[in-house]
Amino acid sequence: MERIDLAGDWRRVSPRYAWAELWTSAIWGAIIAAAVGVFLWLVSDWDRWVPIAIGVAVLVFFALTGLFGFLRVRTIGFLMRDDDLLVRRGMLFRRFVSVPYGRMQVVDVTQGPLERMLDLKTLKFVTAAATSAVTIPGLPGTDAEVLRDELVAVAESRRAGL
Amino acid sequence: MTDPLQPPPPREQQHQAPQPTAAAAMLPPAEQPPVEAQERARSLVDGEWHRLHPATPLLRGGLAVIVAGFFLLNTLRDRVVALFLPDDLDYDGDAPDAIEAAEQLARSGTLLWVLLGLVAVLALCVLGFWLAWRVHTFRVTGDVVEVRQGILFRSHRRAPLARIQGVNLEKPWFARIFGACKLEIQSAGADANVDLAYLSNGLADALRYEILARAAGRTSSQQHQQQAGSRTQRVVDDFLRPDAELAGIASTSLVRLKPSTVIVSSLLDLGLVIGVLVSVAAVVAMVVLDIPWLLFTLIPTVISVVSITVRTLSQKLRYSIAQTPDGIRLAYGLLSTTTEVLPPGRVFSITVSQPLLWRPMGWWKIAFTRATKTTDASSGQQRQYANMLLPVGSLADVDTVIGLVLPDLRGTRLLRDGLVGRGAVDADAGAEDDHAAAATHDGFVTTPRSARILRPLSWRRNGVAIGDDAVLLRKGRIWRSLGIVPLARTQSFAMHQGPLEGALGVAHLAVHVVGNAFSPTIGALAVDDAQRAFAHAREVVPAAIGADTTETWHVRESRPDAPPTALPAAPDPASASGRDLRPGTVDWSTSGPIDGVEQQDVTNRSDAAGQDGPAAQPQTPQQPASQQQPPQPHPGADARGDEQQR
Repeated sequence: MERIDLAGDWRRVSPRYAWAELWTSAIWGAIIAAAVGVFLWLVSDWDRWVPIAIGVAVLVFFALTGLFGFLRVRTIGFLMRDDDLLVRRGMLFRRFVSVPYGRMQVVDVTQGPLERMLDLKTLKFVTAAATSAVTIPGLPGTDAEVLRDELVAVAESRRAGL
Repeated sequence: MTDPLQPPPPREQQHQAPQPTAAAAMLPPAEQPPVEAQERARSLVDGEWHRLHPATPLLRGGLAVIVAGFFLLNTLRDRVVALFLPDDLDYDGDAPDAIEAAEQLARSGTLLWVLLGLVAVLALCVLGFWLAWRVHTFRVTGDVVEVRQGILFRSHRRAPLARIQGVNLEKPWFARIFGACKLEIQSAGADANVDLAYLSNGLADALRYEILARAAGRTSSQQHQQQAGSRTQRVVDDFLRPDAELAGIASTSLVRLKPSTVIVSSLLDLGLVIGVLVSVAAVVAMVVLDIPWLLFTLIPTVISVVSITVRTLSQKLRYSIAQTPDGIRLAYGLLSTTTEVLPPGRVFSITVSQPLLWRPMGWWKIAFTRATKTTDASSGQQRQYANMLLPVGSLADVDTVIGLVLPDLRGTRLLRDGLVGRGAVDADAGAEDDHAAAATHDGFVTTPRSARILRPLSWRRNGVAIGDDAVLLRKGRIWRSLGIVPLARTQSFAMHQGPLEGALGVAHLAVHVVGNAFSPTIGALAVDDAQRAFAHAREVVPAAIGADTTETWHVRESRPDAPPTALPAAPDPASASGRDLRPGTVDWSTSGPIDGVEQQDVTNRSDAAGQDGPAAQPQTPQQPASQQQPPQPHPGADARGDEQQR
């Protein structure tokens, strides 16, 4: 087992972000578990406990995925170098993306209801390529705004075309 | 309409370019010498509003409306006539009946009204068409092109010339009859094109060169002086031979397709061959097993396949790609022709591939991605096709075409290895971790022997190389392909690894480019190699982006660091060779009589700096950022004033 890794002074995101992931996955799990359970209960002539068991299994699966987030959030990080922004994420499926600052088209800062409760924000760096997908979630307080302004300023000085 | 800032044109030019009334400006050039067309094209970019070809309403669907109207009228004639007749008359459309009916109508006095009604409807249509034509205007100022149209639903589109991704000249067959064509100015994004439909041929051609010249920051007169002879020739020959302008282009920067090659290569499509085999099998089965209904499933398939083949063939048959001073010129189409000019730096990625059946012939094809997306339903086929730089060609042709996009890659060992290389042969005999040695032999970093299970056939070939100008992704042993992404066009790049890849000690790399739903990707690279390539890319990509000048012609020329030369210099070989030619690459500027793109750029810069062109003027404290701001029309108008006074 040889994993890709890049050494560096990675800035990590807030561990609280794992709670957001957990809640998101719990809510989706509950919805899907209920839908699957009700559907099976309606169309099948099994005993009542079979759909319930299946629903619970779905819920547990989602809860585990959510718990996994506590490990995964530790792998999310970013690094601002002189010429590019480097973002990493993923534990099993690892992904390192490097974006030269000049490629910035738009920077988004978003906050969902769960994130608002946890006082976290998500920053999205949009380039002209649809596949870039550079997102940094779990930025606490005003970190996202600060980072955004920083990125915009540095991109301004290195603006390039497409 | 008149720009108050514009100084009155000098006397000697007044007879050539009187305040161009639109209709006069748009007369088909067949009636006037082409030199005039050229002059008029120059007068079209004076920042005033101009109208399109008078036949525009007809060409843009009016013709279809008229035909449909006649058809409808013909079918419903009897019904309509019967509507106005008294009930007692038994009218069925026969000639005696019709005369009788007309008499009846005349007697009752309705005939007059019916005729008047007809005339009124016709007049209304004509008026509508005329109004639509009248309000459909365009103008080209120093750095923007604008189109206004619509009566009820108005639209006004304004596009900065520095952002042009390409200029197309489309000539649908019906428009060719009228000697008209459609000028399409492409910008990046979905349906962001500015269409000037329709213009007369010679005018559109000249206008295209004017627009490209302005986009490149050249002043109009410069362009004119440089190309006076050849452009006159072009305008004349546009009617006689569509590709006449290729005549002056050296064969080192021009590729044309032989009809025989095109036909044979089209027939050697794997899908087509399988389809034919299946059809033959079906026919045999039909005869032997006596199931005639199979025919009904077969016939539509055959018809569609044949029609598609014929359509693509008709485009490939007259296909050419060439280097012109304004960029890469692509031309295709037999009946409906299209001529595209892609300014430098507008090709975002290239894929060279070799279909299996072409391999014995040594043919390749080159596809590319661009930033423009057009969802034109009526010509979807053409759009799709326009993403081919070379539909079929030999290795030498591929080399030439790649050279048009990336001059420094032309003729290099790296490119050749990328196309036909099998990877390092040494890796065969060597030890397990021989890929490092392989890298030194071949220039490509390939899949390690330990991970060959992921690429059982092509593991020796599968690899990546980062050249001076581009990333090369080499894949496939049976279906060979080579993806090329210019470093300066890279948006971002990524390194991925899943759990299975982790177990095998490999990772994959992806390069993110504009206009491509799927990023060019190379898999099964050793972790070390992937990390090294990724780190290397992080060094060279920002550098390449910073050094890139092809994208922003306009802005580049107003940079303060442009060397101010005293003379409005003619193309100067010394300044051209002064650019940073990397060692070990072919010097494109000496490989053909046509100026290389880069070289042209360099000359432009010194020219623009030397003259009072629009770019050299201190319009604003312009930093590169200003390319996205709405450009101001005034500097352009001023610049033109200068130019006219000169």
